[in-house]
Amino acid sequence: MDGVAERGPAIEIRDLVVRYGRRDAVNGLSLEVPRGSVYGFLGPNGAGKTTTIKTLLGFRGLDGGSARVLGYDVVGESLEVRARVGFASEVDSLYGGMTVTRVCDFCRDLSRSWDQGLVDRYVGVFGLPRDTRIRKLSKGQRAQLQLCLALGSDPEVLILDEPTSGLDPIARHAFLKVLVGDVAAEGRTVFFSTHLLSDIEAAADTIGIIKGGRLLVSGNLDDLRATHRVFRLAYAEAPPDDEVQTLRDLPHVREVERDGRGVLVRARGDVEAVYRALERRPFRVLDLDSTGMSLDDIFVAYVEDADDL
Amino acid sequence: MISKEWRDARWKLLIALAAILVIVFVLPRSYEKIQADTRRDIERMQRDIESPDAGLLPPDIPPEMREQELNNYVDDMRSQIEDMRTPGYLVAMAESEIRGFSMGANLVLVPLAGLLGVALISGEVGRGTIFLLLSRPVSRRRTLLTKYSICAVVLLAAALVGAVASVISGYAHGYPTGSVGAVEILASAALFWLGSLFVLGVALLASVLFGDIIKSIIAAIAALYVIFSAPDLVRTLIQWLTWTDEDYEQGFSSTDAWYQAFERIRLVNYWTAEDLRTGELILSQAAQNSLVCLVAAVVPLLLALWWFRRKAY
Repeated sequence: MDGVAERGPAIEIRDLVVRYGRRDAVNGLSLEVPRGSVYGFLGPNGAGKTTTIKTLLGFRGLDGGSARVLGYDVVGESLEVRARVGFASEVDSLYGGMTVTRVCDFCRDLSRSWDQGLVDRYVGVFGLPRDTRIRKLSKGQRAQLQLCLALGSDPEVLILDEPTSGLDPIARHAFLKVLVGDVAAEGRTVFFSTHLLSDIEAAADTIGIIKGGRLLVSGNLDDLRATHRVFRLAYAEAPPDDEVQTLRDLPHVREVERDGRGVLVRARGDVEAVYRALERRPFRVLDLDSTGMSLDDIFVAYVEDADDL
Repeated sequence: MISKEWRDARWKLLIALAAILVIVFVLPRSYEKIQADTRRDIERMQRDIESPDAGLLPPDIPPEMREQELNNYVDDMRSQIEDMRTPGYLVAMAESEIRGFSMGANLVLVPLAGLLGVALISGEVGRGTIFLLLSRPVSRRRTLLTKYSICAVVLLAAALVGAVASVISGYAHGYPTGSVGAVEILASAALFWLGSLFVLGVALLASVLFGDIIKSIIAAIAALYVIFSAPDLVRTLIQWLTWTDEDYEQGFSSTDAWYQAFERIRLVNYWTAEDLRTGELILSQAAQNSLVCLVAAVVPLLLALWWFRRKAY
């Protein structure tokens, strides 16, 4: 490890602005990716995920703010960043006419350091045929090969742009299994973008949700889950409108929905306080229980809130 | 990267070499054919002299001058036949033939340079492989210069093969030793190679500017057309702006100084060490022309480098 900031975050973005012409693709994005984390960068299509990644790797410049990877500035020290980062692209970025062996040689020649043993290991794990031309590999195999090549330079940080996009469930499962079981277990920081919640659930320990070029939330996935709950209140009779409105006005309550004679209350933040407040409601409550919100619900909640702004 | 670029360029090079070898070995006349053609021309001219036909003269000559003109014409023919019977004439014909096919071989460098250049970056963008390339810890400047250098070497190889093949073809076709100017042929090939680097640079610039290979090809062709025909375009524009009806009636002579001045900005005129009027190879001219070719080659390359370093992908 020879990064200039050995203790700071693996990726640090401050007020990043990236424009395509007059349109802001990324608009004041700030986030930190802790070292050793598997960070899922989640957002709908067009949210700015790929643009952020392209900026981190120096594929495009930035129009405002700053970004650092392992302490290196992505603009002024882009070569240092790329020497320490492994990248797998969303698009099929491999030379179709090359064999697996040849593309490994090609990437080795362009890398400062290369661990062929590591590449061979992962090529073996995925069972990739070494002498087959890349154009003859399946989409899943090409994604796996991209991961192998990204790992070849023994990077401290892996940046993967929609790595499982277009893969069938079996190929996706195999990919994520290696990503979490092996790659992350080796202590590398993994930053991957996706719009698939199942990828996040399977692989990420930390997530950031982006929409319209802005970060809506970022944090540990378990912490995020702990601050989102759904309460179900069962009443003896259908509650009047003013009771429902009172529930809506409680602090940390995001949404209240009638459900027959009951009410569903979705809360974000201090959910314990919400629970206590619901317990103390004067209107006759027969039953009160709570469940965690699914990641799907959490994601939709943040995206909808962003739409309301 | 070098081996990958070489593999990318090899098919284009092989096709270009095939074209060069056809031009150099298949199309030229043998020395025997040149001799036979000369003998046939002499016989035809002798027949014309023995029974001169007034129809050989231009129709606008007044009747009272036609006999005198016909006599002059016959005298010219006799003098020409005498000239054609000397050994020097055949050597000159052989030299001209060699100049023709070695220039033909050199001309192959132009489309080859264009084809190599337009695909260098736009090809990578089109395939999506630009992301693999740019994600490696290699500067964009080095990436572009490596690609450019491989293409320049490929062009040089084609130019050298063309030059060497021209010399071999000259001897294989039985041309006299004095007519096969190996040094001049090599000098011309080297200059033409330097000239083709300008085409490579313009095509590379188009490739950087446009991520799409079709757009790059169209832009490169359009740019090269405008640059190469600039003297004619500028001259025509000046004529259109400044000439009076009287000027148009008088016409212009291609030997007029102002007319010739435009030839100084015709880039292809610097791609050869031959005198533009006599066709004679002048090695002393080569140094001056190489400097012009070098500057012309560097300008689009620098522009391409500058743009590539700023281009967002």
